[in-house]
Amino acid sequence: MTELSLPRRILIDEDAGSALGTLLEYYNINSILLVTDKVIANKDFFKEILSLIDREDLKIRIFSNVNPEPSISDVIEVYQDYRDSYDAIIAVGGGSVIDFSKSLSILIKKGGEFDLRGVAPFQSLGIEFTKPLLIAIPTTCGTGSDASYGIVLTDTLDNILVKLALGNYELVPHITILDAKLALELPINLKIGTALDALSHAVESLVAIDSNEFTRPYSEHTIRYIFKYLPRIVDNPQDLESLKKIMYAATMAGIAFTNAGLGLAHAIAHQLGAGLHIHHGTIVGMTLPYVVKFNYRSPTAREMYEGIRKIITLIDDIKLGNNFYEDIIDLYDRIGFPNSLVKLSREYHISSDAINKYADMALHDPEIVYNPVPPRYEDIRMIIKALVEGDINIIT
Amino acid sequence: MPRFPSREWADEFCKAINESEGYRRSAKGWVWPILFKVTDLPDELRKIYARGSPGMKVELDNGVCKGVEWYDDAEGVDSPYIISAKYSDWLDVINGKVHPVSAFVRRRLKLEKGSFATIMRYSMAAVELVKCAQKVGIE
Repeated sequence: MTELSLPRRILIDEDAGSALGTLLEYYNINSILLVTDKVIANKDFFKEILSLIDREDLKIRIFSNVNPEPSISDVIEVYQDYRDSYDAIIAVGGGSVIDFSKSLSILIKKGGEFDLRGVAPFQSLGIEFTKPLLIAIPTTCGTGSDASYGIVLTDTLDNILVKLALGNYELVPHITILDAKLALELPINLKIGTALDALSHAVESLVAIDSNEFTRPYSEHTIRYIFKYLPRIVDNPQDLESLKKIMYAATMAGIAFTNAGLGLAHAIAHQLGAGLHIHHGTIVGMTLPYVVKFNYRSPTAREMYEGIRKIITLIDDIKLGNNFYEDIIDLYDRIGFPNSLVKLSREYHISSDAINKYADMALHDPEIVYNPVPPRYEDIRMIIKALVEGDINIIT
Repeated sequence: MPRFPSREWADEFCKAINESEGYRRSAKGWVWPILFKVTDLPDELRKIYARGSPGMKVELDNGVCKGVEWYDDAEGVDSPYIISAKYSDWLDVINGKVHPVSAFVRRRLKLEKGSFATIMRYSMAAVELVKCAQKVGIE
């Protein structure tokens, strides 16, 4: 059995404020909770969205203090202050804001006693058809959370900070509004970091164990767009047309990984990101080529990688190298993105003991099982060592 | 090769778990018994297990199988974790036609009792358990 879950509506190339105002009236929504972070709350576009949706009979509450990479306790704390009956929760921001909003919506619907750590795709949460509706307006170009079932929250487990990758199909936002203008002011390093998050979603979902005919086109399209348009954005960060494509790619990748799964790059990146405090898109993008090389062991994965390379070469007319992992590293060179932890910072030259610890933690990450090649502990250690040193030849 | 499901198969499964380095590594920290229940038996097995759904409670502790209890009818048997599935779905999982995690996602394997939060952290151990089951094989 194959399923495809995606938002009920995706509004593409819209002016976010006008589109949201129209939707709220269309759905007869009279009370909303707007969720965002401090940075976005001070942006002109956020104020404009507020002014465009404002009407006399619309009750608006705003929570504008979502922390980057929020924790389970953050969600519970805000739930205590903001629990109320809303027709819709509107998330305006990047992955942290949207994931936080999804988590908050669960508690609002199910009550504060519900354990968010237990959110898994295996069970019915019983909230799919209940209010508040979740509307996502992404302001970055990578997380795909606006179209995905996933939530990433930090938590403390045995006194260690960990990232929990949670997900349930009932958490796919009802509506997502894509307005690339909102991402124009994003600093270039975040444009790159989030776009590489999208690339990682696409490359991993392309070969993940639940990849299928319905998910692969989304994965492939995302990969093509990142290879084609990300270098253009690096050359001109204000290139709105290219930014649109990257934002679409991010949403398409969100659909792909929600339905196909992710893999080992995410399992490793969750641990290194939490432990070393590295932006998720940056660390997962960096891990990606090493995992791709490892996955060449799978004939099916190899076939998928070679297939997308043919498409990029023949249709997009982009010259590629000898294999997909080298192509990804070449792309990183082209956009000035480091391909090793040591290149990112000397302080990330982590010890052998630390590598062992992260490998052990990655083995307990839920994304790992979607990888086309089931990795052993030793394989994960090998990949992290290669990533630290930037030596892809370590991968055998 | 022992018949699936049966007391003999359960014993072989326990042995295979104890021979698996992959399971030992990925299940470090898992300390709860799991009751595996088999429902919707085909006619030939219904003749053997006429009373209902057979099952095995596998005593798992930090990557080791400490023993297994067999039940010709596992209905009403308690365990910290209970996973049930139709006979045909178990076959698909054990034969590798369906990935165990996909089987959970597609609701072919049902977690009747236990914490999803904990299961999520041991999904690789679940894969290793299936590999152990594949070693035992199915007639």
